[in-house]
Amino acid sequence: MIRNILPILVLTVVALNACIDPVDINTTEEKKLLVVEGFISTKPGPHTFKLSKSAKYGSIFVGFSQKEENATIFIKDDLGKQVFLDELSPGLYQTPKGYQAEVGRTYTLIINSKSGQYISLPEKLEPVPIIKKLEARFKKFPSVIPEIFKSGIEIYSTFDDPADSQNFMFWDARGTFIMNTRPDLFTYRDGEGKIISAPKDCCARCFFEERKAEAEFRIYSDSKTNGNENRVLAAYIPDDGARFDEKYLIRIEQYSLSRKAFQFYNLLNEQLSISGDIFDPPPAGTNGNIVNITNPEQQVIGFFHASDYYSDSIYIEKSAILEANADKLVPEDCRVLGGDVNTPSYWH
Amino acid sequence: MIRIIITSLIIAFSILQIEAQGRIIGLETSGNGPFLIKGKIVDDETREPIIGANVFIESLQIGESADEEGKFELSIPKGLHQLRVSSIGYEEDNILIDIRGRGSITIRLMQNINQLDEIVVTAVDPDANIRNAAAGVEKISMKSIEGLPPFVGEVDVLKSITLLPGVNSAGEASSGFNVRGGGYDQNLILLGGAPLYNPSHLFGFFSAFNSDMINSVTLFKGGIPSNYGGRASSILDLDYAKGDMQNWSGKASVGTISAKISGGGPIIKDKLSVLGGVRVSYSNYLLGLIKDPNINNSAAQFYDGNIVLNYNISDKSSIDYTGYLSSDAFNFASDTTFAWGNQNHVLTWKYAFNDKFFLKSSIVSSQYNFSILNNSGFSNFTLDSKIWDRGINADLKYIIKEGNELLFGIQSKYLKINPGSLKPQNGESSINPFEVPLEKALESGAYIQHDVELGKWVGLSYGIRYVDYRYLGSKTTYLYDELFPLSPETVTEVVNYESNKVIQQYGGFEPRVSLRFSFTENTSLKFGYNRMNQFIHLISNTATIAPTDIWKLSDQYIKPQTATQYSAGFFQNFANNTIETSIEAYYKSLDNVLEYKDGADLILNPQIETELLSGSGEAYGLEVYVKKKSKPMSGWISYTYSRSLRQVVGPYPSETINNGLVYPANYDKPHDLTAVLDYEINPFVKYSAIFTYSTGRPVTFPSAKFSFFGDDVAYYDSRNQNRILDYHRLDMSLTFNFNTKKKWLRGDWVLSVYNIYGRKNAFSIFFDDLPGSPPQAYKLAVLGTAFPSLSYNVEF
Repeated sequence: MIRNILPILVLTVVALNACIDPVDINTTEEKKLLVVEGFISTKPGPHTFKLSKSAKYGSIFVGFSQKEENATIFIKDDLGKQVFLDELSPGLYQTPKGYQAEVGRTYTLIINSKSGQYISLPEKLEPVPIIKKLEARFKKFPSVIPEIFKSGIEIYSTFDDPADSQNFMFWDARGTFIMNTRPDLFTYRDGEGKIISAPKDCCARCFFEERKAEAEFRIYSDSKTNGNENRVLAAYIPDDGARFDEKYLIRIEQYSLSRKAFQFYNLLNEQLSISGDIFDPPPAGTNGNIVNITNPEQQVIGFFHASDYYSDSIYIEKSAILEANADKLVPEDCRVLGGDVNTPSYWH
Repeated sequence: MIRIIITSLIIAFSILQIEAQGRIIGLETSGNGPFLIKGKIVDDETREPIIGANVFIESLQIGESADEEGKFELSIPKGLHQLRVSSIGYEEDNILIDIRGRGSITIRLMQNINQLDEIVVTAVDPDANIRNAAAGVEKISMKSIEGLPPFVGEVDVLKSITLLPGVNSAGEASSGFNVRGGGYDQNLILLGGAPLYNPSHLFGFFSAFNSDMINSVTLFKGGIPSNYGGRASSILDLDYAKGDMQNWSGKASVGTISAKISGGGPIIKDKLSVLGGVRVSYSNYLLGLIKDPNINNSAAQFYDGNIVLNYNISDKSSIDYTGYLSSDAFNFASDTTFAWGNQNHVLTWKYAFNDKFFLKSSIVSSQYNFSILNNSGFSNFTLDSKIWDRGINADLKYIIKEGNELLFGIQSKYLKINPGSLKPQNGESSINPFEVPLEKALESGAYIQHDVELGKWVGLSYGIRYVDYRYLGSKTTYLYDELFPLSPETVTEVVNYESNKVIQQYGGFEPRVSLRFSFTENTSLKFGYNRMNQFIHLISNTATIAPTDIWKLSDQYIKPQTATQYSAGFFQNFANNTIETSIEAYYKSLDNVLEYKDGADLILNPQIETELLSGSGEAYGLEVYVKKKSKPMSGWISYTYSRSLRQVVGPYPSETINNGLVYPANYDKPHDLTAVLDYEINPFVKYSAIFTYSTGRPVTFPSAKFSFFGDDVAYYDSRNQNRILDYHRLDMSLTFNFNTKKKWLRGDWVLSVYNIYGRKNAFSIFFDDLPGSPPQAYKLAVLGTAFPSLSYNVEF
């Protein structure tokens, strides 16, 4: 609540004199640590895990993050039941289809890879409250030039926080929208750099699916709101001139977290929000609950958690965008951009 | 840019060169004279002649008194001579003159403002730096602070402090300062005897007090006398000015962001005087003029007010009252407002039993409150925190004989802190009211100090202070499983303490010793040792001081911070004490300094001990200082080499920082150079300049990056192993003094430019993965351009 205002606060005080510039700094160190990305939930599987290695901090060409291939991964619960994951593509692993974790069980993740043997601390799966209501609200940010502004839609989830327990949650979001493009205006540059007009016949209207469009993790702790009906910001969809061409379907996935998992995401949010201002926390290692048992000194990045799942969705009509940004003109076949001309089965 | 610095330094040094040769009088003439020199002695401020002022040349044993027009005539042979000029009510001046032929000279004397002050004689002897036993003590008059280039039209005491050797700050947007490698919270700032918990307005851009109300500023970096205690690193003692017992007068000043007015005089002549001052910002109005809606919808305002009352009961006793109030509110074009304020009261009774035995007793009350108000619909709240600091002191002084004094006394304070209480603002909010329990403690000290001159060449000041600290109930405390890191999950027992029951006690002796050996009248060698305990800590998990920081009392988990300092210094004055030089070295060890676990949750946490770590530190440094005091050119150059290091090793990885290795503190800046110049071009125009350079402060660079749910995230596993770019800045100002003979209206226009060559000094360097660019490093500069300002000061 406090953090994001400071860079501009400093600006305010000295009347627009502050500035942020890129600087050329070469980091010298390169730690190659295992990064574990993924969790299991009560949502019917498959549940996906990504294994990779951290790389040198630099431009995309400097540090290349390698996939951790050919690992054996399995998840064990407190009843001794084990589930093995299959490697779908290098570094990408999946639980069997339909695999669901259960409320009240405790789970452990075990990884055997060429870089070592890893094990997570046990994580207990706590129940999550149901979503009573989803609401969309238009949000416009102040800007210097009135015509150029940032805006979007905030999605609020209303739920009853259980009074008898400490509750931690996070939200994931998946969006589906229609984008209209102009393949008839398609151009390309020839070998001499001349722009050649080459209209395409298809396709001008596609469905696109996307995962949450923001860097921040939407998390919640009931430490100050225990037992109340809460309305919490669960997602933000920026209006980029293309998303709200027709209407936007957002599916909000509400997950439970353990206290430790909440703390991990909170730490990650803090690190992501470092912006050079006076409220910046000291940089910290984003290590979670996974231990390298071959070499306990070596840190592991990521957190394995098991979450309860509840989901709901709403359509956001174009009319919800009270002040629209200029439409984005895309002179391309929408399928080339990753769209699909077929209407998804869940769309209505 | 570099050229500007070099040119400026060349000018400064060439002026210094001319000065060292003395003021040239007359054109080069053959023969050795003596030549007739005509002179005039005037008041520095009013330019009125000083009747009866004395001029004397000791080497020639000649002298004269000024006539009714302030004029005198002397016959002086060719060459360099030391001219001593004195008059009652004025500070004595020693001028080096270089007689080349017949000529004339005008001499201006400064009024001795302390001359008529009955109770406290603060006049500093010109050779005080040599003669005092204590090293590491800096006394600056407000007059010399006022001569420095102001920032946005305001003279700033705290910013001036950072120009001294051994003192630095984190950057433009920070209110704290660090003394000899100590933390921000290790400085005790006493405003008229009352501790000031937040010394800044507008997030550190201004000091929270009106410089017109201050008489003198004393900073104890080392050699801290035993009558001061409670903080580990330094004492900044701000002494109030007083209302005149004879005449009414005032001052007003209009700057770019704020305006201030002060005035005082006798309510009952020779009996009761008053001095009051008010300072108000009009930054809100200015913010409204800026087009950026982020800014014109913001609000930033502050004010402060002071009052000083002095009542002489009799020749033997007097009563003083000082009151101070400050308030800040800041709101960024959003729903969150920050507000903070100080409120101090001090009542002092001074009594002389006879001409050798004096009592000073006082009742002190200091309050600091901080609030965050959030109006964001469903989760609106008010978060308040507050400190109450109330003390009584009895300080006695017994003069055994001249140069042999005994100081002793007792001091006790009751501390109460509300670490945070959260309330919903209205029924719409889903926030539950929540209060972190109040903290209470009693901190007492008894001290004795003996200052003695052992013959002409040795001075000794030694003393001891005993401190006793009791952390009091009522309070719910927690016991934790010793086999695990402290965490809310590892609580084994909950213990409730009744009201005023002692939960934890700390105590100890704090020896203080200062020793001086003089070899000549102008040379001395000093040694110092002091030990200090601190029982109240600023909990701040940020690189610099932030308004959201909270204070915490020592309890059974948070042990007192302790600093032990050894120092040695060599002091040498030249040219009849008009040039002071010194070299001082120190070593300081710090125990129980506070650090924080990664991702620590500090706000509204009743079990804050689970987020804190305790570490050790050491600091050492060498300070070189050259100061020139005479006119028309004065100023100083100081260079400090210092290091401030920390180490945190806990039994668990989560309780260890930087893998247990030593790392630099956030404000560790090894090289620090400051040059201050104050030059009177003529009686009406004064030029001043400040140049500062320091090594960039430490930052942490990522040791890796990783991809997580689509973001490239920086990974850190060390602390403060890299540095931001070096900091340097040149400020200049011109003061135009339109003096008239009419005493009721004298004005100064001050034109100043801060950061004249517009260096974008980095406040921080951070790493981010912004859309549209590769993950990379960015630099935030708070002030990216030269910042001019104009202010008008008037006295009436």
